Amino acid sequence: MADGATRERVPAVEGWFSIGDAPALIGNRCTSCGTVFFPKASNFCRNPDCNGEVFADAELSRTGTVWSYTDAQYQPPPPYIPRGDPYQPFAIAAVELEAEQMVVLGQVADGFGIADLHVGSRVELVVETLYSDDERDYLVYRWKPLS
Amino acid sequence: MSSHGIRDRVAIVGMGCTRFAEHFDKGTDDLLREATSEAFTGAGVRKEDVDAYWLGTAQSGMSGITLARPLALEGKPVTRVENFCATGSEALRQAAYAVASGAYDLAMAVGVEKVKDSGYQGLNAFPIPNDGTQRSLTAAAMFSMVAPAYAKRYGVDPNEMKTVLARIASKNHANGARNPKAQFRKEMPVEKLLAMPPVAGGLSVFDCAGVADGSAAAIVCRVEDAARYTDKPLVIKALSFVAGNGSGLEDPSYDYTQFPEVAVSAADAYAQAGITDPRAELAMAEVHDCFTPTELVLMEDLGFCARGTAWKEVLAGTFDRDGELPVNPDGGLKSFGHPVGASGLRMMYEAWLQLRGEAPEDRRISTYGKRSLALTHNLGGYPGEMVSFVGIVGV
Repeated sequence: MADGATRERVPAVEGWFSIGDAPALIGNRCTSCGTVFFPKASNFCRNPDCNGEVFADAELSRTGTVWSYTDAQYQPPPPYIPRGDPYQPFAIAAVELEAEQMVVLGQVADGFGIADLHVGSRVELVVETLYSDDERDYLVYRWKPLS
Repeated sequence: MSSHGIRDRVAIVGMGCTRFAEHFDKGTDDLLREATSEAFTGAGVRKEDVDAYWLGTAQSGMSGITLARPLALEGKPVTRVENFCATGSEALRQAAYAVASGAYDLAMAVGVEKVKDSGYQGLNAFPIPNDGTQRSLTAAAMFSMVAPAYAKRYGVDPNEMKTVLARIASKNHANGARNPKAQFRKEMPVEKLLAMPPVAGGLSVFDCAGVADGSAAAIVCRVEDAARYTDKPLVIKALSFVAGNGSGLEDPSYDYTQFPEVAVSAADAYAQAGITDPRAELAMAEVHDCFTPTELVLMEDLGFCARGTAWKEVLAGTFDRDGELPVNPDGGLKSFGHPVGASGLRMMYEAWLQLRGEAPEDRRISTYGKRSLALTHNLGGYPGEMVSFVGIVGV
């Protein structure tokens, strides 16, 4: 096992979010109509009134408000990798992004459950470990409640 | 009770078809947009103008949302249909009947299949639990059983039988070689085909249809409205469909030399269209040549020649592009490829091109200008247990 300090930290899915000090979701924006997509749109714009086919990458708002929430009290089937045995439930929040006003679903940060959430509460994007192997920690974006 | 059909009541006024190929750079959405956009443009209509949609796909998506999402349709009825390998024809049949009923003015039938990066080569990607008694042979193995049974029944020498089957593949490759939208565009001489190693029974891989990704689409309206969209509509004369009951698997008299479901759907289609002598009246036929023995038997089931004589007609070139009744002038499933949900509409696309004089010179059927009816035949399932579609259109 590699030393914790030198372990490589990589996104579980490449290109969906940045992992620096101020992580953000990476979506894209139709250059014709300006509609923002996450995950990124490809090949054609999903706006029914737009024929755009060109998109520019865009970092999305790091904060938003909770639109609704739930949690997983039973262990999901693979490919979900449990965090430990016994299974630890985790919360999920649908968050309306501050600027884009689109709703993005994500897990809620470690240590927080549905008791910490309510509709309209503010959250910020953090990056935490989803699972690990011998060399790397694989990261995922999560929503962390702001006090 | 009777199968009345909708002869001369509905017309195809726009069509589109992607190239059939291993489209590793395109998804289901891209293929659907490409085929439908060609059809919209051809008919001079927008997606908003089409009142209802039917989407045929065997395993590339479920529900009408599979089409509504990539086309960004707003508030439109979209019905997803599936009927084995006759799925594309089924979509057309439903769209045409909906227009004939008066429920809609303009409807679209779309077929699509995207199988090449599904992690599964071929069909049957969603195995449905059963009692364990169903056949589990490959499709090639099931259809290969037709060849020895046919040769034995009609006294065809086994080597001659191989040549007959190679002759069918060679014809379809020659046609596909002249078709820019076909999956395989290489001519294959009979001698080369005879030298191929077998994969199932006597069949080589060149006796099998190509498995491809692709999409095709058709826009239909009432015949009296057709002139708004095109001056050369394709008028629907017959749409017939039979779902077999699987009795071939239990009936000791079923001998693998014919497909009764096809014969019944053909008879119904000819009755709807008022055709009494298909060989003399049809300008062309697109038939479901999933495997070479299938095309052989279909020539008899569809009434193009008498029982036990198709093998001689094949050798005589009757069904060549320059023959008496051209069959699969676009290359067929063999050479054009077979994206399950799209194939039935791809067949209709060739009728659309040929009857309207839009097929390129080097692929034009010998009957062009002399006859005005085309037949498409699309089947699904296996010998003894199949579904069969027969459609007839004319200009």
